[in-house]
Amino acid sequence: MDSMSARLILRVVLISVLGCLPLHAQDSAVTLSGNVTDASGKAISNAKISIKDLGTGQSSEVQADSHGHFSAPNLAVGEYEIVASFDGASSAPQKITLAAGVPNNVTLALTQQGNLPSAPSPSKTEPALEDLGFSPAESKANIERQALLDKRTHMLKIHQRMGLITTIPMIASVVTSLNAGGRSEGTASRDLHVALGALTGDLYGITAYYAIRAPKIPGTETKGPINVHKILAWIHGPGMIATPILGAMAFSQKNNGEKVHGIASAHGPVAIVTAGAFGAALLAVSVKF
Amino acid sequence: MNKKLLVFFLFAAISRLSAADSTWVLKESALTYHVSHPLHQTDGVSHAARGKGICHGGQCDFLIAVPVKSFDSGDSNRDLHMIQVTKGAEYPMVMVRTRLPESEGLHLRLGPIWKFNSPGRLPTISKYPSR
Repeated sequence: MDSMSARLILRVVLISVLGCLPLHAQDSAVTLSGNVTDASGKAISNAKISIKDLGTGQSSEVQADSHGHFSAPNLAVGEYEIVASFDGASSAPQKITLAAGVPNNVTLALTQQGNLPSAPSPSKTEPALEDLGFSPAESKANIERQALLDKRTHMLKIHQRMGLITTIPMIASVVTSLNAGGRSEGTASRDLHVALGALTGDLYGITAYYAIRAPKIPGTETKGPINVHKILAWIHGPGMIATPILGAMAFSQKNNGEKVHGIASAHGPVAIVTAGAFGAALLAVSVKF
Repeated sequence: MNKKLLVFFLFAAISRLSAADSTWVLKESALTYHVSHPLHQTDGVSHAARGKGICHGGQCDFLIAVPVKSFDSGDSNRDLHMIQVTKGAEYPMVMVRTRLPESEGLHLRLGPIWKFNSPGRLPTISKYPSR
């Protein structure tokens, strides 16, 4: 019993200590900031800064902005080794002890001269970006827009892959439709057709979700084959809704021993148009005509 | 963009603004990005580059810059993808700096500037412009 109590107390203490750890880490988070320069002290833009925690051995990277300035937030206090690099040039590894409540700044000079693009310079002999008449807004980094573009690409890649996967059961359901209707009285081929149709519908739904939910990029005009792709979606989209409804009606009529009649007889033609529009939409963005 | 090749070329014609103060300005330019894909090839062109050269002591410092978003291939989907891959929103300008002797600065032919063959990598200058 004593042993169990001791284990229980130990667990409670351990949970309490572990529960406090994140709070402790959050309290002591510090920001490392600094500048990257070349050997002459001129700011170097877009250099990579590698930050290695000498306590844990873990490394992280940040990138300098167009003025050579960088900032690495949310670091734990401790000893770090910092190296800047750009296109073959790198700085000497610099050790720094980060502490809470004091400025943690460092200047990293690239020692090996490579093809270094300098930040806008006040030198009279080197034109600066401002000299070319570009507004500061045009050359200003927009992290949010980049994140939006990254998300868009990520979602559209899934959309693209799911669209290709969807073609497999779609083609199979078109092929199995040959034995699913007509005078055939068997149910096995009809059930297979229904199963493939259902799978196609599910995969199509996922494909459509990733296209619809992909973020729009403000201020961009849509032009080119993507317009054809989108117009065709207005054909295969409603078609993918109508086809299973008409199919269910036809299925019911066949199961009742009736000949498929009325609006249900449109199931086949609607499915063919839908599959055709889907295939054309796929080709519109894949092949340059 | 896997196995795709994205290359930027810049063909620029620079004219001397004034012989007295040895300042050069970019009059016309065509910067192209090219995407090679097994099913299609895409070329996007920008004529929005601006450039300037300042000469001092027989040496000219040139800066040519163009907004990444100014490229037009006729396919907005490809252009947006190019901007995403090159991190064009985070680094909105393609900039080329070069130093040339004043006597040889009459014509610049630059390219390729960037070459990518893997997505997600930051742009690196693989070949610095030559005369």
